[in-house]
Formats: sequence, C-alpha cells, structure tokens
Amino acid sequence: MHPNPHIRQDIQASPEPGLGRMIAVSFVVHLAVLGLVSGVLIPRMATPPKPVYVVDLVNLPVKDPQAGRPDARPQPPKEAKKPEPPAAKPEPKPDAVKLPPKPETKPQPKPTPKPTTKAEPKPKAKPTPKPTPKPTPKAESKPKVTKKDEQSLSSALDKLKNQKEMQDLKDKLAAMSSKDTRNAAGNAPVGMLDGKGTEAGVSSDAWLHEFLKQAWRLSQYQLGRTDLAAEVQLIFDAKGQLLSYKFTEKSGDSHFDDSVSRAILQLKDYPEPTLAGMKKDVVFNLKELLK
Amino acid sequence: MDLVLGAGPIVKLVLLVLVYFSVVSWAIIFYKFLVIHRATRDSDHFLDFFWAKKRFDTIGQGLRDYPNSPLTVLFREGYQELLKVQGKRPSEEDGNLTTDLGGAENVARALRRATTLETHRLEKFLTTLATTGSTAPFIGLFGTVWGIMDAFRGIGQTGSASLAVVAPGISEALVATAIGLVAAIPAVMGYNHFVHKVNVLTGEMDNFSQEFLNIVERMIRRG
Repeated sequence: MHPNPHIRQDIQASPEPGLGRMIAVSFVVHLAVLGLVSGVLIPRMATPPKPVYVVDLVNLPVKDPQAGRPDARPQPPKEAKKPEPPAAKPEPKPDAVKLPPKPETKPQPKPTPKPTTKAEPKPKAKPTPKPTPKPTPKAESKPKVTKKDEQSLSSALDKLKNQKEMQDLKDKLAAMSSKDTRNAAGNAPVGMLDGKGTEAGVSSDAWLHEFLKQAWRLSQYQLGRTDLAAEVQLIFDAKGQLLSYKFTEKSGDSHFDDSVSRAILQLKDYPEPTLAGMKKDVVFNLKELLK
Repeated sequence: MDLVLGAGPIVKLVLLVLVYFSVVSWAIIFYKFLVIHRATRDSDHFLDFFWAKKRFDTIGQGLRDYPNSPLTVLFREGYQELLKVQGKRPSEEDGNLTTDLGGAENVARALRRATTLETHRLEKFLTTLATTGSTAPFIGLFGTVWGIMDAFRGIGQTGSASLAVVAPGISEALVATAIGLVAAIPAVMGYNHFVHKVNVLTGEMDNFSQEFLNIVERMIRRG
C-alpha cells in the first residue's frame, strides 16, 4: 500500500488520445483530399483544349516546289509583281512636286511678319539691329539652298518611301487579317514565287506527298472509309519519270484501288527529274495521306 | 484518377501500400501533435505552480490539474521515493522531511527512471514516421520503375515509339513516385518537428530533476 495513495490516483486520471481514433480521422481526411483532387466533391474548372501547331522543320514547304507542277501558277505572280515596282517607283514625281513648296513656305512667312509686326509697334532703335543679322542668313541661305534642297529632297524621298512601304504593309496586313488565320497555313500556296523545286527546303517526299494528295480523287463513300489502306511502290527512271508501279498491298476495295491508280497515273507526266532513279513506297490511307 | 485506375497491378499494389503509409503517418502526426501540445502546455503550468508552492504535500495535492505533463510524473516518482526513504508519511502541518544523503541518491535514481519512461512515452510512434519518411520514396520509385518497364514492354509489342504510346505509360508509372513523395514529405517534417519538441521536453525534465534533487538535499542538510 502506497503511503500517499491520493497522488497515484491523480496521475492515473490523465487522458490520452487514442491512435485508433486518429487513424479514423486521417482516413477521412485522405478521402476528402482524394475527393477534392479527383473532382468528385468540387467539379474541376473546364479548361478548353489548347491549339497544337505542328511545324515540319525537315520538309519545309515551299510555295511552288516544282515549276512544271500542274496546279502551279508561276506566271501570274511574276507578272503581278513586276508591274508593282514601276507603280511604286513613280515616287520621285511627288518628291519633285513637294520639294519647291517646302523651302518657299518657310522663308516667306518669316520675313513678312517680322518687319511688319516688330517694326510698327516698337521704337526705331530696335529695327536697326534686326535687319543687319537677317540679311546675312538670307545671303548665306542662297548658296546653301542647294545642299539643304538636296537634304530635304532626300529626306522627302525617304519619307515618301516610308509612307509607301507603310501603306503596302497596311494593305498586306488588311488582306491577311481578312482571311481566316487558322486555315491560312493550310490554304495558302506554299513555296517561293519563282521556285523551281531545287531550293533548300524542297523535299521530294514532300512534293510527292503533295502531288498525290491533290491528284487523288475519292467518292463521298470512300471519304468515310478511313480504315482502307493500299501500299504502292513507284519506280522512276533516271530522268525521274515514272516507269511503273505495283501494289505491294491492296486495300481489298476495288474502287479504292482504282482511285489510287488514277492518282498515280497523273504523276507520270511531271516534268522535273527530282526523283531520278528512285523507288518510292507510298501508303494510300485517308488518315495518313490526307492529313 | 484515370492514371491510378489505368496503372498495372503491381503499381496499384504499391499505391495501396503508400496510401496505407500516408494514412498511418498522418494519424501519428495528429496523435503526437495532441500529446505533445498538451504535455508542453501542462508542463509550463505545472512549473509555475511548482515554484509558487513551498510544500511538497501541497504540490502533490494539485497534480490532478496537470494530467498530461511529464513533470508531474517525475514529481510523483521523486516524492514517493522520498517518502519511502524517510519511512514515514508526510504530516499535514509540517512539510519538512529529514533523511540522509543516501536517500537523495535513491530519489535521483527514481527521477532518472521516470525521465526515461516519459521520454519513451513521448517518442512513441515517431519511429513509424521516420520509417515512412525514409522508405516511402523508394517504394514509390519501385512502382515507377515497374510501371516504366511495363510501358516499354508495351512499346515493344506495339512497335510504335510515338509520344501517344510512350507518354501514358510513363505518366501512370510516375504517379507512384508522386504518391511516395506525398506520403514521405509530411512524415519527415512531422518527425523532425516532434523530435525537436520531445528534446525540449526532455531538457525540461532533466532541469526539473536537478531542481528537485537540490531541494531534497537542502531539506536533508537542514535536517
């Protein structure tokens, strides 16, 4: 028996939180966090999918990869651009017109108001010193007129050129903004205006892909059959002309295979020998080829 | 959620283990927070009470107000040992106790034993936090490695190495590492915090023991 039992009773009364209860609390907290994260308790904010832009840096598209391409239009852009420079170069005309007025307007108003306004109200003593300095700049300005005129001429020319360039840029921007920018890359003619198909960035595979894509005609029914695919091997001679082709794998749909054959036969007449001595395997699939 | 549901069976098992670790470690964090918070609060109040009173019997009667303080346990053990050594009950009117210095050594041993017991009580379950903090990232890493192995095997079977094929498997596998870190980081932080608090309380217990012994020795010398 303890000599002072009331002390032990006091100490044993100390409560302590149970670990089991804490595990239950922790489990509930985890469930709540899981609900928050998974969006069950609070629905997530709907974020619109961001647009994805794919840039092919290897096969850079060009505006006119082949001069002999059936759908290429090398002539109109060249002719359209050539007349433009003459239209833009008549800039000297307004320059020549505008040059005289600028020097005339500036000296004329200066002498007229100064003698009239200052000579009349003020005493005679002041006009005497003023005329003396004024004639000197006038006399000096006459020999300098040519230099100043040249400078003003050149500056006016620059200004007009800048104005013209700004106007051209504005026109181009207006034309670009009027189009749908999202489809601009897909609809715009690719390549350079005077391209011949041999420039950097021209890929024979890209050209072939583009040509076959445009030459391939499918019916409405076939456009829905994205599961069909046919693999064709194209054989070119040394001049780059198509010698023959063969189906390495047929689609199983005769109409589909016929449309592939028609597209390949159009390829026979292309002029540039960029594919000389090559064998090319092409897979005709709506998913892949018509991307 | 889709990432978890789309993972393989091994990765799911790893995730279950990690969730178990997380639930237990958070339970321990809550438990230790309550225990140590109450112990610190009651110890502070008990020290104020202890230094305000001059007589041990009065202090002994007021211990019920500080049930969570480890210092009350020390006082009780030391006082009981002192009473045993003296061999008589404390009188209500006279709180002075007389004994020799050998009795003080007995009291010191009783205080050391009580300090050790209270330290162990305060440190209970902290090893689980340490284990969770140190092993959960590795368990998660195991799940990730296994998931990536599965993903690469799938890539080999499909024969395609495009991002659409590679990315889902790897992201599912990486969930295991993420959950492992989610379980480990609070455990490590809680462990460090509570070890610091326990060290502070242990220091308080040591100081209280020394003060208690000083008082006992002064009482002995006074006779």
